[in-house]
Amino acid sequence: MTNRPDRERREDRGERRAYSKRMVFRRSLFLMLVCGVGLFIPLVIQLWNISIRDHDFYQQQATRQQLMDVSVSAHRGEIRDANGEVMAMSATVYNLILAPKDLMNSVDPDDYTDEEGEPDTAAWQEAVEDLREEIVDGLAAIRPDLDRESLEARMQRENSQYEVLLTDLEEDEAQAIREFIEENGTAYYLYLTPSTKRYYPFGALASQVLGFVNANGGAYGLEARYEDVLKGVPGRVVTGRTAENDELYNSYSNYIDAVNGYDLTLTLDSTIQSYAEQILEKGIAAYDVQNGGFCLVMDPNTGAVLAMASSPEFDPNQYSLITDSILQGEAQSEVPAIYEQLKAENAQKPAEEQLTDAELQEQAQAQANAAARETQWGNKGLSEPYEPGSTFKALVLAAALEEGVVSENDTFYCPGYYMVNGTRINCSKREGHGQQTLAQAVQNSCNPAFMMIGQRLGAEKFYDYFEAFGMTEKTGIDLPGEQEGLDWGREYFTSLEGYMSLATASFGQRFTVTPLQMIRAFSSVINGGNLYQPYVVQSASDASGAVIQNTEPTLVRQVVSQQTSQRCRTILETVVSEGTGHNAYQAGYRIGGKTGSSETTEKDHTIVSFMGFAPADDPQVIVLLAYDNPRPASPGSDWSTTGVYISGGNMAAPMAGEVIAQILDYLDVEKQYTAEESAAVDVTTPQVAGYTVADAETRLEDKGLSYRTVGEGDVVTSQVPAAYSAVPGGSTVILYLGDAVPEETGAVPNVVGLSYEAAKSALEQAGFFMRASGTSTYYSDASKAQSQSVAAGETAAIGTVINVQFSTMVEDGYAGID
Amino acid sequence: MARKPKRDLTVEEQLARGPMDLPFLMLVLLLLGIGLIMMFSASYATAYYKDGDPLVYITRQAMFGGVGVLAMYVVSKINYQTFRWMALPAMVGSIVLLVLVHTPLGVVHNGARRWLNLGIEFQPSEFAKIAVILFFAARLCKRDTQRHKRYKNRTFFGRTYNFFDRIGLIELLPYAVVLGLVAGLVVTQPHLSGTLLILAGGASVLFAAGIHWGWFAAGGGIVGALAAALIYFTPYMTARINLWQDPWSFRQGDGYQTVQSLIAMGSGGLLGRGLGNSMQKMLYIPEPENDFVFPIVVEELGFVGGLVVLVLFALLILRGYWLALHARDRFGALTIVGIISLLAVQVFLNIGVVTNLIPNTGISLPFFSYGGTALMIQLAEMGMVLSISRQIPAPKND
Repeated sequence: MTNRPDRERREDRGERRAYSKRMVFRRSLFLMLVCGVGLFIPLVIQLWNISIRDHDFYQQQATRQQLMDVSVSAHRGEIRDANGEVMAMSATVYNLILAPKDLMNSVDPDDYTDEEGEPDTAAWQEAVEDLREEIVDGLAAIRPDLDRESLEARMQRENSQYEVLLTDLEEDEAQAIREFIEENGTAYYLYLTPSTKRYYPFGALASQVLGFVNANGGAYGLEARYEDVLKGVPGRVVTGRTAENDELYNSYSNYIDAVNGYDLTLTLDSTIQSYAEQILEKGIAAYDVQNGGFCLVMDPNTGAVLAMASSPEFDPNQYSLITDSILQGEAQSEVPAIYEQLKAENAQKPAEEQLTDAELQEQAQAQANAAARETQWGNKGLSEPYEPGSTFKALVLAAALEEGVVSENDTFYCPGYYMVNGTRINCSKREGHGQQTLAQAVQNSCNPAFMMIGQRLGAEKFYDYFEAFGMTEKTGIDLPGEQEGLDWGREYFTSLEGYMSLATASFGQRFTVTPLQMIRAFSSVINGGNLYQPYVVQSASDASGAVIQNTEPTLVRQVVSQQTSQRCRTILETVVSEGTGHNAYQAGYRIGGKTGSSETTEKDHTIVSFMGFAPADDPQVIVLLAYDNPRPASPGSDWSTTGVYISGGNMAAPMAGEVIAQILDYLDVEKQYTAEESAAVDVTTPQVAGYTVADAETRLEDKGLSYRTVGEGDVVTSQVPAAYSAVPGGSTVILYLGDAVPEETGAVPNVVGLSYEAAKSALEQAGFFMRASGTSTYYSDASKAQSQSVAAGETAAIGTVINVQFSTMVEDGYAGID
Repeated sequence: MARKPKRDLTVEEQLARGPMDLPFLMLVLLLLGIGLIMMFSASYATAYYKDGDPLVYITRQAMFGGVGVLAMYVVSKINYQTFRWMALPAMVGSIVLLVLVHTPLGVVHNGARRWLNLGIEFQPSEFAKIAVILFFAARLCKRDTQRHKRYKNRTFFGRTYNFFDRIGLIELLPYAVVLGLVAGLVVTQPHLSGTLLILAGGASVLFAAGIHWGWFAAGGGIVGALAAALIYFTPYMTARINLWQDPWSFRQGDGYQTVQSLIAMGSGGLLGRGLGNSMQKMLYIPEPENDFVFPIVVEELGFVGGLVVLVLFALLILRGYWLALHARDRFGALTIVGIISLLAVQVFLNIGVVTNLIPNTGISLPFFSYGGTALMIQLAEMGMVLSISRQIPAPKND
């Protein structure tokens, strides 16, 4: 700018105009720079900062608000047994949801006005009440077991938008409710939401192995162990959404399919499992067993678990329910003690926190039930270590043979006790077994003999075999909750204080291992010396059946040699054929095994067990059956309330024999009869009616049958049993001569408690036939009939074959340090 | 009216038939095209979800755009010298219309009385903007020939008058009165952003005409002080400033629009999500078709797309000033300066707001924002620039 005097001097118009024009030019140029360039510089910088520098931040913000992420549930895989029978499956069920607030909103207050057009609250309230009533009635019609009171109470919750009225509705019920909703137009506040439920078609069968699923997924058993395999991967549907939550299907949509869970195929066989569970039930009832029991069945050559039963059991469909009556009783008996304790604790609390008696009672009940539930969910086979008792002697035998410290020719003298460092340890037979061979020592389950064998091995070697047989490690089975087992350390065992331990360990006492460790170690004794890792899951496969993962038997180590194993099998077979295990005898099957009775540290608490395998020359199956705590008839008594001597040989062995026979039958293992057995095998009666007595005699002799005659005459007029019926070999056929006519029916005599011969003749006298089972063909006088298939006094058709179960009293009870 | 043969034309008329400035025209059409496409994209979701017809905004806008281009052409054909005498009636007319807004003829939308219903609804302030520019340009171009009244220095009045005349206050007074009147009428509608633009347009013409720096400095100082006082003493303005400083703290409330705008631009990145793929237009940004088209541009076309739009605007503005520099006379130059400065300020305020560079004022983006009358007037203004460009003498060496 120029100053005023200059301007004044510029009188010339042209000059002024030119000046003015220059001024406009300069000022415009200035504005041009400011507006055309200057203003844009901060804009570009700001734009850069936002869309380039802070892009990641904004991108994240954008993603957070613009995307809708809906998860799609994956179908949980099925669990099938070895034959493909479904043991656990998932299905869609429905939950019924009510929104009480919306229910009220559905009744328009404008429809309820009085004459002046003012809202009539009372009428509206009544209309709402009617609607509620209508729904309650409708639902009650579909589900008569509905708790009306609680339903009505929940309908009253006026501020609630989400009340789950019913859960786990199955399709037919859901359909009925759907129709109800449609008919009454209640979809606005009453609706079904899908959910899934786990079904266990076999109910309680193998419940501890299968476990169950709760709201958080697999909680116990295989369901928990294979949670990752079974549950699959939930899918996701990611879509864009508008600010008002409408879905936008555009290029930002992303669909991740749900990957369904894999199906598991088990080594477990539901049939064998049911045999195992039935035998447990049977034994528990027969011996008045208080703490249940377990029964493990394994393929000794692979470690595949064929059955794993544990009692008490539960129904995984209703896993919180305590179904076992013994367990219920036990839980009930715990309540007062818990209650007393709670009451004492309660008294300590300040007054305002104290609970009422009723509340305490309730709490005590809840705690007792919770404990009982834990008990029923536990799998005894791997989570409850027990004293293996005499069954452990088989392992000591194998170790001793392997180490060469004993041989079949060695003899052991048993005076009825053994002195260890001045302490007297008794044999189960107080008067002593006397001089016996190695095999006899095993047959007799002689404690002193085994203590001598233990001494020969020495503590170090003995402990080596503890380790080799896997007693100090988990078996690695694919089930959760496995315990370690042995809690003796090598230090202790080989020390001076541990000296007594070596003696007691020699006959399987004073230490605990898990049943699974025991059966696997025993398997290695008889299968050629191989210790396998047990397993329950054979394979995992997808929906198309393609196998994703297959379990091969895992050999952990060879413990003893093939030859040692062979020698052990031979000796163990004689335990059943001639020794303490002969109640496990089953005609036609060569069963080997070892009995066990272990007294726990608790008084009068015995665990009776039997470890059996068959066929003895080529074991296909090994069974460990145990009953925990048969109730003694009186405190300190060796007899159960049901009159059975409390020992593995008298209780577990016959049951195990029965279940082994069932399993072998099921597995189609061919029977091999010895000569004596063949004689007793069923034969088909020939047609002798119409023949002379002499002809009849020859025909019957061909079949190994004897006869007696009734009436006078030469010609047989009729016969009992009729021609072509099956009777045990050696039975006496009744031939009716002349006018003599057989009775139609007769009363069955009582044979329980009789010896084999006495029972046989008693039945045959009455016109029946006896099929004996339960003990070897060598029926000594000690063998007594335990039960008969048709009870005494019942009427049966003449000629009926009565099954009689024999058992032999064996002395293999617990004996230890006095 | 039959077209006169060239030989019958006066020099003036011949000049008015010169070629219009093609670069300027191209830039206008380019921005208009991009603007329509982006407005369509930005309005699509709102139109679809709220109005049920995705084409509802674009049809109207395209129609007005078409009419606007026609208006631009027609205006460009007018010899701009006729604007000189039209300036005064336009100014008077605008003031009358603005007064009418405050009568029952005015229409209220969203609590603001900005519209006038004379058969069709429109904002008189839009006309006032251009009327002020034309009026100022027409008067100020004769500045050098204006006689200065002189009083004797002997009287007090004379001395004072002469003093005021010397410092330029006397000259400035009529402009101040007119500007004050118009601004007063607009600001009471209330229409703050309109007032701001009218002031900016008027001021740019005054500035270019050579009014002393000091007046602008003084004016700026007063406005600044007033604004500071306003911000400091009124809670409403304080809140507004806080909002500007940290919109994230108010993201669920008043800061929502700004935050959504920033998210849109930020998520665009370098190259954007692709044309039509904006997510933020899915009802996140309220009314993206109005003031917030630019964030959608950046979200869809990225930093690069936003930069292109800014560069096009800058080129248009530079070319506009270039035309002003070469205009045949000062009236032309000042008119262009007014129109282009108005445009520049509007672009700056809009993009400054959406990028949160400055506090929210609510100014639309020329050629991009939805609004029929505004677009038409904008294009007519461009037509004026083109009309002036016709009379630029060809370079000597050509």
